[in-house]
Amino acid sequence: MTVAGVILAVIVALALQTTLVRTGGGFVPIDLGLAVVVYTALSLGPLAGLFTGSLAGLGQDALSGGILGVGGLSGALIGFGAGHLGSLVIVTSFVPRLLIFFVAVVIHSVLLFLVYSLISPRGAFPDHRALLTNAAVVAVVGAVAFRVIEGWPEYARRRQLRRRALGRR
Amino acid sequence: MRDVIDTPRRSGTLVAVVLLAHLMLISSQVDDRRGQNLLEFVVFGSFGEIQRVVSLGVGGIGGVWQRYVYLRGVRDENEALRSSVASLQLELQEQRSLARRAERLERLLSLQGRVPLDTLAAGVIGGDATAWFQTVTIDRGRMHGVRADQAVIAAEGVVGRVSGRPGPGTAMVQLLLDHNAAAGALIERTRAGGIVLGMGADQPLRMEYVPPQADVQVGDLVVTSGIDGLYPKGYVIGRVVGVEEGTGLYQSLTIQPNVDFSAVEEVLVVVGNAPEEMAAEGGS
Repeated sequence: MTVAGVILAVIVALALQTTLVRTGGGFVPIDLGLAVVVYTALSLGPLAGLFTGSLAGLGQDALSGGILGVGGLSGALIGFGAGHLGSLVIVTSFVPRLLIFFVAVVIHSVLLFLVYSLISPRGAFPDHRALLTNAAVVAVVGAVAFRVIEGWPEYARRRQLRRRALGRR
Repeated sequence: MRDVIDTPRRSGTLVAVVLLAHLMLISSQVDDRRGQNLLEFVVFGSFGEIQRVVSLGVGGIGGVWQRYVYLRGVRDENEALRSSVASLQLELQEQRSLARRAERLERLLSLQGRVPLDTLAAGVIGGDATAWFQTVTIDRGRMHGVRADQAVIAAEGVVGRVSGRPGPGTAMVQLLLDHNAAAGALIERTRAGGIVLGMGADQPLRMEYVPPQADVQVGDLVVTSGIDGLYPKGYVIGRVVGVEEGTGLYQSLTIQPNVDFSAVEEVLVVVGNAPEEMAAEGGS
């Protein structure tokens, strides 16, 4: 994945995140930006996670009217942490990835809550149902994205072989 | 990028630099939330346009799905009758949706005709990127006359205010629910004043600083007072659902907002008439 690819993925994720929350008819934001951060961190390592987390977090801050840097700080920590974990433990199967995405969303929310609590006494922790929905959806999206992206080259190769075989006949 | 990761010393330095940069960025804003932030303005301004395009794309995909893919799936079942019923049902749903939209627009137009203010109709095209702030993006911006801190209302009542500097074609609206939002308010029946504060998602609003001797009952209507210089006077905020003794000398009220913030689709931005003038008009 190139730097441009990561930036594009973050932009698309944030745009979808802010648009789908309206078309869904409710206000449960699904943190697709964080899914990209964790994906990048697990695929490319802690520093890629750090920078992607900063970028996605700053984007979220700017789009949510929050204090610029809070989301960036939290995203950077999550990206770095997920990347570091990915470099220590082999995370290649579906369920561990699912868990990492899920836990990342929960920790991200806790970090945001802690920072905002220091800044504004009126900051409240998001409704636990919204948080769990967000975490579950991000986990599924992230883990499925991993499987699809990893399986794509093999799928394309097989398709090419099948076409060649048909061409010979 | 992998090469850099493999050098722990450089990696540690980079982490420290990035975290420090974020902390500096945060601390530069905490004491001065009113000031305009260039980064926020640039990111929001350019991203607003991307949101518009994505919103159009999502609408288009939704349309293609409903009108083509879904109907083709039904046709594949090769049951002409079911196909016909399904398409009629779909049409009915579309008509109902159109009727509901027309009803909402009619209410909005009626409000636009009633209010003695210059207003601009806008559609909501995006929600909040996080669960921490209650904001929406509208499809009107600087080129339409939208400015920072303009009040945003709907047929049901006050929605919020334009937050930060709007982009060329979009603007961010801070909902009254946001825990940083506040509005001058009064009890319509007794004219007792106070300040309504947002408490975040899924939480009712609070009305603080209501005098202890004020007569307040559950069910009383709460309207804007206009003293905050943001919201025009006399617009509905919500109803009192709880009265408690607040800290100190004041009463504290729980307010159920009149607007269903999760379903707001069309709003009016108050683009003209300063709130001071409106307050004076309302008071006279």
